Amino acid sequence: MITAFAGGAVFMDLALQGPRGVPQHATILPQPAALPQFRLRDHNGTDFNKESFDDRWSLVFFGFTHCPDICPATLQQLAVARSRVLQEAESSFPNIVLISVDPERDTPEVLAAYVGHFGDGVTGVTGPLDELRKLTSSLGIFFEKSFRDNDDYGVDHSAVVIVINKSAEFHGLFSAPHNIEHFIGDIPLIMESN
Amino acid sequence: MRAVALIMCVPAIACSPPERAPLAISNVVVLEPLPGTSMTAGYLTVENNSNQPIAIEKVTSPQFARIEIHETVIQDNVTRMLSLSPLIVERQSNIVFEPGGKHLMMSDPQQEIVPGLPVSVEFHYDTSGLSIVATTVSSRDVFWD
Repeated sequence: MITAFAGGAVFMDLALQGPRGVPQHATILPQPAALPQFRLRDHNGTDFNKESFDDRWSLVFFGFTHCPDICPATLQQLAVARSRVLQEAESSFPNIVLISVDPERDTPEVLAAYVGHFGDGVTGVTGPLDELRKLTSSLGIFFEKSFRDNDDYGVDHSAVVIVINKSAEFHGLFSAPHNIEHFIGDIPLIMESN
Repeated sequence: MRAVALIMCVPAIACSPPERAPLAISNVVVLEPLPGTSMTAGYLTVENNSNQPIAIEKVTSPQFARIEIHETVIQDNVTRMLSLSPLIVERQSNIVFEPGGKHLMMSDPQQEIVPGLPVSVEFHYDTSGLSIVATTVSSRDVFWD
């Protein structure tokens, strides 16, 4: 009788949780993948490497400051999601990391001014192309210069938001186009699951 | 008889549709540039009220040295920026510029661009057509709050 009651309670609990227990929009890797060693710099000029991801969740977006549309939009969406999630008591939110795919123009100083707009908890990262490629190749991130007229150029790049877990592993990703509600709904679940 | 004719004319005049410009620009949003950058994005709705396609050949502004019409295209999770020059607006149709899609890339500001600053945006179309829109610079939380 007691066993039946307990079983029913568990069933009810699972039923009530329903799909809320599982991320609905993010793609979670069946087996998280360890990141390679790499050596970049953050917007304060401090070394940024694999160990910089240790002991905290991170959401990583690859973009550049001369990108007028999708990059600031994505960072703004992440910043708004963070702000809304943190309004809940005892909640936390991953560090947001912008890794520049345009290190030629995005110096730590440029990134410092840029990421400051999106509030605390946003880190800008830049560094040599060969070091950058160590990380992007392990995450399946594409980027390539696209030349416009004059000397100007843009950078075509992957638009996913990568989820890195507290063990510095590639844990999952959000595909583009992005949606604030998807971040708000899935990110706490992803963090709870680990 | 004359009175009847006058009465009949009044509704006819009242019902005449007002003259509409062939190209109507509305909902213009020019975002403040992010710190450390020298460009920003503009969004709007463009409407072709005529029965012919309209070609927007260029966009200018006294506040920016260079404006290009671009479209962000995401394919297989890779984002690319395409240049749309000229932009063809089909007859009796509209095109919405919005984040993650079509946008104005506004570069090299000629003065400090801050929220509230009046901005004029000039749309040059079909060789000699010109539509000028006045707006003010918006802060970045206008789309995401």
